[in-house]
Parts: sequence; structure tokens; C-alpha cells
Amino acid sequence: MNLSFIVIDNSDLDCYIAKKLIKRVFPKMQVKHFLAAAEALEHIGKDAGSVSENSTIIILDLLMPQMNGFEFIEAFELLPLAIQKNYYVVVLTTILDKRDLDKVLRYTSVHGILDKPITSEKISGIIYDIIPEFKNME
Amino acid sequence: MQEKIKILYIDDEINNLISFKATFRLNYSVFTAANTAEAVHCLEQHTDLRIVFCDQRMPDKTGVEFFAEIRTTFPLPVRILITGYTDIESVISAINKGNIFRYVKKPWTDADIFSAIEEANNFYQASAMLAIKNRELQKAYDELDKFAYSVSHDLRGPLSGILGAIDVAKDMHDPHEIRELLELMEQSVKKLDVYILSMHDYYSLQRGELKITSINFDHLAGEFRDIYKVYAETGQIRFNITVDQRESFRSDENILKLILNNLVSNAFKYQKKDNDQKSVDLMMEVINGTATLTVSDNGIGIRKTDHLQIFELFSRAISQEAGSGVGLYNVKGALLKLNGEITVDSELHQGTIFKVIILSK
Repeated sequence: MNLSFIVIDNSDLDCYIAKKLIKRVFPKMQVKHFLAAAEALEHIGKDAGSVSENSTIIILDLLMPQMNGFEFIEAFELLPLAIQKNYYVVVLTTILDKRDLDKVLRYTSVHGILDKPITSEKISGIIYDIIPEFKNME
Repeated sequence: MQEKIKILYIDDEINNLISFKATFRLNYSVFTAANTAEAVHCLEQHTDLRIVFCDQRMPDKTGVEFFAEIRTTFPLPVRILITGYTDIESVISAINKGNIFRYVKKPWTDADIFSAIEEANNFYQASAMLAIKNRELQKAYDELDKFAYSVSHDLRGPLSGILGAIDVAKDMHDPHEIRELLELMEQSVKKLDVYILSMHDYYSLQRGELKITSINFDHLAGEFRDIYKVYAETGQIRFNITVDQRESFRSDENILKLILNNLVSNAFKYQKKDNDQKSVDLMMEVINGTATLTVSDNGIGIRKTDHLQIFELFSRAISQEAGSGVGLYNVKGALLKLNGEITVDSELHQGTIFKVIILSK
């Protein structure tokens, strides 16, 4: 199994840090980033043909201008299931607002929550939570 | 002159209606209804009716019953019952239930009605004021709610980014890499700074008193030329200011500057990166006691569907640049203080024109 990452955050700095931290835990990991959720969605939608063994973890910021994290999730869940099954959405939040948290966890595509500031420990922790086999493969 | 108080009188005896209207029409705006259906129709038509008088004994229902019915559907008008002594038990119970403000006993005298109207009108004004104050309070509360939510995100967001960056930087050895990270951190710090400054603007707009002085737009143009010189040069943006002031103009200079600064800095910020003819135009014109300030650019523009929303607190239409979501909200607040108006004309990818109209104070 191949694992890669997509980081969606409108802050340049946050994307950069997330990338660095992921690389610190998994040096060979492929990490893409998008400053706008709509662009990420377009990229994922194009994935249609690939029936690969690839799994992708999406690190998604919630509060973004234009398309926010919630809108992204709604749109993502309308994509063909063949695409959806290759992705695991992990939501990134600054403040753990109870209302948002409850709402987010109701989505089936959301597999976890990371609160900022993120650390390498938090990243590896959540990945082993989502894909336990990955730990044995490393 | 103050508008007359609107009063509705309901009675099944037409003669009573006629004499009531004849007596009070000079002082008040009197509406009459011969039955409750007509009365309801009248209440629907005239939502600013302040006082409703109703006779107790009517064929279809009693006045007490009628008032109990309209209490929820038309809560604002003050309800006064007109009745003889015989129904006193039901009247007392209706008053105790809060369905009736007071009653006037039959046969009424002019003085009874005048005093009832005066009392009822005072009561109406007090409760109307309360409703207005409540709405204002609700608005302030909603704003506070948005504030608490957004402040914690917008302040903590960049801060936790910087914290994360420091953590990452500890393991870095390549100076180029460190420099790249420092530049990203600088952006986040600047964003925080802009945010806090706009909060300060917001606060001084909400609490501050107007300081009206004579405004020299040529002088203002010079200041803006100086402030934006660096941005124009580094961004290779042509900044053109024209002033046509034919008469003196009085306003609050700081608030004017706040408005212009927000609009001009937006025009500089939201440029198309690949455009080699970037330009920002500021036109200031004073004629007939009116200042027309126009800020236009040929930048990235704003989608038509976002035009209404851009003046809302914490709304950001653009993702590619760091906005605080407070700037244009402050502009709107500032114009509210100066009784001014703002319009936006913009097309995505074409550019944006903001036009501000302010009257001299």
C-alpha cells in the first residue's frame, strides 16, 4: 500500500509546517498542498480513473475563505465512491469549538481531528489510528 | 409636526362610532370598525395602530374575548375595554390576565378617553422603546458572538502557525531553508498586526466622537501619495490621484482617512500577479457640498454574488491574500457615522471600483 498526503490550508505557513512535520515522520512521503479547497477538490475529482492501491490522507483546515472545510467535505462526499474510498479526511482546527466538532464528526469521510499547533507526534498518532497496518509496514 | 396617534374603536352601535370619531378625530387619527372581523382587517392594514378601544357587548363575541384573541397576533397596540358596570367580573379577570391595559366605563366622558389615550400612549412608547433597545442589544450580542469566535481563530491561527514554525526551525540547519521559513513567519506576524490595528479602528469607530474640521483634499492626496509610494514602486503599480475640490468641505478627517486607507490598500493588495499594467486610481471631487471619492483598480475583481457579503464582519471573498475580514466592515461603519454611502462595481478578473459619497457636515 502506498500512502500520500494532501494538505488544504489557506495559510502558506501552516501548509509549510504541515509538510515539514509529515516529512519528519515519513521522510519519503509524497505531500501535496493546496491554498484553496476548490482546487484540491478539482485535483481529487480528476483522480477518477486510478484504481490504484494508493491511500491519501487529507489534512483539511476548517475555516477558510471561499470554500471552507465544511463545504469541501460536503462536495467531497458527492464524488464517486471509487474515489472517496482512497481518501481519509483529517480535520485541522484552531479552536475546539464543541458545535463544529460535533458537526464534523457526523461526516462519514472524516476520520480524525488534529488541533493546531500540530506536532510530528500528533501526525504519526493519527495516521496509526486510521491505518494501523501502516505502522507494521514502516 | 408630529404624526397623529392612530386609534381603532370597535363597537356594533354605529352611532357610538360616529360620535367617537367626531369627538376625537381632531386630536387623533381615528379608525372605526362595526365588528371584530373589520377590526382585524384594520389591524392588518395599519400596523402602526397604537391603541384599540373595544366595546364589551357585541353580537359575535365580547370585547374581552376579542382582546384575548388579538393579544398574540397583534401584541403591540394597547388594548382598552369600554364597558358598563354589569360585566365587572369578566373585566377584572381580563385585566389580571394581562389581556387588557385598562377599561373605561360606559357612558364615557371625553376626559376619560383623553386620559386613557395619554396613559396608553406612554405605555406604548415605553414598550416600543424597549423593543428597539432589545433589538440593538441583540445586534451587539450577535456581533460579540461573531467576535469571540473569529478573534480566537484569527489571533490563534497565525500564533499557532508561528509556534509550529519555531518547533520546525529547531531542527533546521540549512540557512536558505531557515530564511524561507522566516519569511513565512513574517507574513503571519504582519497578518496579526493588521488584524489588531483593524480591531482598534473598529473600537474607535464604535465609541469615538466625531471631530469635524475643514478638509483639504489636496493635502490628503499628498499624504496618500507618500504613504503608498513604497507599495507602488515595489509592486510596480501605477498610482494616480486626481483632486477637484471647488469649495470647502467639513468632515472628520480621521474617519475619511480610515475609509480611503481601507479602499486604497485593498486596491493595492488585490492586484493580478501577472498583469504588467497594474494601476490604482483615486479620484476625489467636491461639488455642491458633496464629496465623491472613487477608488478603482484593474485587479482581480470580486464575483457579483459576493458584492453584498463583502461589507459583512469577518467575510473574506478572496483566498489568495491575507484579509482580516474587518476592513470593509469598518468602512461601512465609518460611513454610517458620516451619513455616507458606498457602492461597489466589480467584475471578476476585470477590476473593482468603489464609490463613496459623503455630504459636508
